[in-house]
Amino acid sequence: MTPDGWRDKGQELMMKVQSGDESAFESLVEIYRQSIIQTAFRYIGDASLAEDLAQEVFLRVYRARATYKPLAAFKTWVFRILYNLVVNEVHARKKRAACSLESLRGKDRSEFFISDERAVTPVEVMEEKELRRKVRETVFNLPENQRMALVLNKYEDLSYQQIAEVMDLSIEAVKSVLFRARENVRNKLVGYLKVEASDEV
Amino acid sequence: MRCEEVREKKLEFLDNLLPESEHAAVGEHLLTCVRCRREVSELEAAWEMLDDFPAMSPSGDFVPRTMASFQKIRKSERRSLALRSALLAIAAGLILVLSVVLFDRGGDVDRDSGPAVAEEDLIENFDLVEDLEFLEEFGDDLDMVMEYEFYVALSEEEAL
Repeated sequence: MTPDGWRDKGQELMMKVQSGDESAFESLVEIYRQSIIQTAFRYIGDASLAEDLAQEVFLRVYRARATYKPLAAFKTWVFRILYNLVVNEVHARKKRAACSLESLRGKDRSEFFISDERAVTPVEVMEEKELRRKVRETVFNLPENQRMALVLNKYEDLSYQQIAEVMDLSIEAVKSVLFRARENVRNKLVGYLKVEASDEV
Repeated sequence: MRCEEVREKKLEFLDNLLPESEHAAVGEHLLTCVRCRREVSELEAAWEMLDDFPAMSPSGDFVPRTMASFQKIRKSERRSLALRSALLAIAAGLILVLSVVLFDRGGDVDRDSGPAVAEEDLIENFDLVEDLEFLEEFGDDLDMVMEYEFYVALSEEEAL
């Protein structure tokens, strides 16, 4: 809530949920499901798991209604719940993967992520397909914090301040993480770029 | 502006987050520095390439599934609320019954132990008992003195 008392749509709905309005909860799910599912998917790489995690996010939102205070933008608050969940999930996966480390040694990190048919959009040109695969692989191979900061910034259009709130970092740390993420992306994709030194910026 | 500074500011430059004067200074540098221009161009192009990250299509039953789970939580919350209320009512009833029983027993104890308490008081206030004995002795002595004075007075009268 801003000092002048303005609330965003999510905060308004959440206050209604707090006062027992079930339909407000359904509206929250309708409005934010796309963002939550896509972010989970882009971070974790498994469509089915992304939906399960998104569902858990909404159930946690509901369970938190009694103590909810509209201090941050609703989207920031809900992404913070998602971030904690996906980070825990990735760590749990790593632990499981460590049990069969031998089978994973030397493999690309993107192989940790389950490919899903729903994630693949049919493309006419093989080059495009290859490019998409490369982009996907580039994002999945980023270190976890860089990947999340990039996904929130690139696909959810969150500001540095909002990302800082979601990931519990300072704004300077977010800038630094995003800087490294973008440098890494550039280094991985530079072979696919068609950039002339004389290109306009 | 030097290349090092541009390197530090290129991200904010691309995101249009620099103050106007700094943005202009970076822009001017890029016009003259091929290397920095290439770096910034590559960063921008790579960022745009990320638009090709395939999005997934959420399954059609996501909302009904989530609402079904939500209803389960609601039900279990209602059940636990009812259980908690019932437990509270039982606890309150037990406290009430215990209070009545203890109050009742407390009255009996007072009645039964009346004399004992009085005796205890005397034992505890032994000084008082001693004082009473002293006064009794003092009274006896007083009687003796008065008796003595009576006889003295009588013998004086007889002497006269």
